[in-house]
Amino acid sequence: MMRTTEAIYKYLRPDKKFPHMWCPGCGIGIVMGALVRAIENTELTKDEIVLVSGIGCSGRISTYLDFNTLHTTHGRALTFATGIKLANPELTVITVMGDGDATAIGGNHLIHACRRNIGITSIIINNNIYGMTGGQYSPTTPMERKASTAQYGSIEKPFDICKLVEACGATFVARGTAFHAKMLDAMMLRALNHKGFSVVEAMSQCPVQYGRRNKLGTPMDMMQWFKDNSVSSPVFDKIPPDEVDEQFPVGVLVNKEEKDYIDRYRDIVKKAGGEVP
Amino acid sequence: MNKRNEVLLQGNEACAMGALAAGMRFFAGYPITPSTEIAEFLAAELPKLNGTFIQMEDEISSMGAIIGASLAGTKSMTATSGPGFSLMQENIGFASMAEVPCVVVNVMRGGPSTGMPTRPSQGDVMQSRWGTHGDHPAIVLCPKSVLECYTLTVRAFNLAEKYRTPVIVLMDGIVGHMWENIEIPPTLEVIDRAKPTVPPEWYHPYENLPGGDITPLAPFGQGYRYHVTGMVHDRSGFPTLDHDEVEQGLKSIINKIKNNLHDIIDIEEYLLKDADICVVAYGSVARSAREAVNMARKEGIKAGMLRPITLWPFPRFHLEGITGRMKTFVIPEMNLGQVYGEVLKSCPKKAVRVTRVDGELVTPDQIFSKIQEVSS
Amino acid sequence: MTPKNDEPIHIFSSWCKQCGICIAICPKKVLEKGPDGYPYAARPEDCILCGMCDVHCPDYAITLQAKHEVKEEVEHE
Repeated sequence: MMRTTEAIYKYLRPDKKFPHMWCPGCGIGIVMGALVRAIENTELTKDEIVLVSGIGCSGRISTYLDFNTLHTTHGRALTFATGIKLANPELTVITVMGDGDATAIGGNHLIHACRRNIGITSIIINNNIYGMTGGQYSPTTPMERKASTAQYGSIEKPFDICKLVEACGATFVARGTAFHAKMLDAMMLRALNHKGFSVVEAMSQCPVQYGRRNKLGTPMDMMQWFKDNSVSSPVFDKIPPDEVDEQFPVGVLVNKEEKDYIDRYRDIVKKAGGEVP
Repeated sequence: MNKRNEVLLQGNEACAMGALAAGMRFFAGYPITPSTEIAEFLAAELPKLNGTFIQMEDEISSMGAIIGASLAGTKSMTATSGPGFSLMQENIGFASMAEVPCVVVNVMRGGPSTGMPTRPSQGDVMQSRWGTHGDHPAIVLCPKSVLECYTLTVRAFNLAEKYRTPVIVLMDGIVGHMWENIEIPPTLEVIDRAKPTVPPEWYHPYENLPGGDITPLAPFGQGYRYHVTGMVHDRSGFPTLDHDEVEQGLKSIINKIKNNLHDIIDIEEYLLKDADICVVAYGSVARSAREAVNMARKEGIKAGMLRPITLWPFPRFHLEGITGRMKTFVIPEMNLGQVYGEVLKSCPKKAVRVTRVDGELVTPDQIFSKIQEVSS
Repeated sequence: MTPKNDEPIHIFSSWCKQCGICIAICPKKVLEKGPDGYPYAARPEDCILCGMCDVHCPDYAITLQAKHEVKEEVEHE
């Protein structure tokens, strides 16, 4: 497996300001490293890749990587990506969204992209908070956790993103964490090679807006929490529901073969008498 | 699509056919009265041409999808009505800021809110100009007939490609739903997307060249890897907060329209040469206005009509050119005076309005009686 | 301690944000926080080239046995 730094120089935009803008110890840089290593292990050229990011800390990924990049309006990355993929199915379209970007304002688009099983790899960086805007709680902030808009602790049940997208029809769903960096890029590689809609949830630490406000220690402490609480899905399934404390399953959780939207649309073109290239 | 030269068509259908004639091969939309026929027609026709039709989950995603398709190099369009048009505003602003060509059709119905889905209005005039936040230009075309639904949609695509901007085709429910016998113009000029003239290393997607030429938008995937964002950006497309770059960036988006009004603005003048009362009317109301002008002429009143075909940028100079010899401007509209307010700017103290918001078309009699009133 | 060419670990202090992840995650405790806050290889001989520091550095500020010409390497005093 190529080291990050060797791959990173091949894909970073040289004239962009480094060090990048994410806070010290933030996991997004680790996830971006995993994405770059995954892409390095495909045969994809830079021209074939379109990276579509939303608004928020994770949204800035598109400025740093040397692909066709698009930084959309908040929550709408998947809608732009759908247009790109349908207009030119040869392109490899990847979206990167944060937890709020994907499941709050972008939730409607997420569930429909899953239902359509359109050929897009959707990476959702879940740090349980709206970081860019200063630490407001998001749909994945655990109950009782504090945020700038939940000073008394969040009273909302968080989404399980992987279950959500599985229920909506995504045919490849995997979860990794910033601690499991190498496992993450193996999952992203499989997602990129998957035909149909693939989701990789990358749990990532936000040491400043989420970690400090909830006294979760150093960036490494937060990553340690990922390590201590992640279990493979077979192991997780054996834990009786009422005994599940903070554990969560990692790894490939869903992997189904199903005709994707592009193939189904090509059938329509044939039915209508159009000629498919 | 069979070769139909002389045909009875609905306005919505003619608009969809015009889009296909202009080379549109990507439509994303969401059902909404009174524009759904456009989507239904294209759902049947686009697959035949190996084009893409998709019904998205809402109007926000429809707008996002057509921007994505355009960035991938395909002429793209959506169609909606008031409520959907309101939802599209943020992404219309994105298309304007990121200078991505696309066409948005708004078939107006009674507003605000759910309003009167099956009744016409012209209540979205200001929204089509200022619907999205911030300072930005707008190009809005306003058909008054089924034929113009066809020809102005083609023109909308030409202006979108030429000036790398979203263009809005604004028609009221009457124009969208009425049927007319029209002759499909066999040959209409169609402007296709220009190709970049420089190699990728020299390509700056937002660098307007000397002499005001607009840098062509290279489609994603052709070797021109660049960045597109809704943030204020420098000439290479990356976010910037540098004062000069910000100023220059915003100004260039506005000036590319402002410096080409002669090419963008279209109007129709009817019996204006010797007139001293000018009716300013657009869309379906212009049909009543024309009849009212004829009625006035029979009574010896020298009335005429100026019809903005391009509603925005507003034809201010044309009005300023004739205001000297006009006693009064009569502005009939199916709203409470949105264009009336614009005419007032060019011809202060000389404008009167004939407004109707009960869901019916302003009638020739209503306009004619106002003409009589002001001419006596 | 100036890194010699055969040193396994190179750190770019211009990119490093002193987040401490590399120090904490190294299974062989090779790295320590230097007087100026930047990590340095206190026990380079213990390094087993496992790459945990490399893949977990959010800022790509640490490379292992840079075989190729390193883009930018800063002497670390």
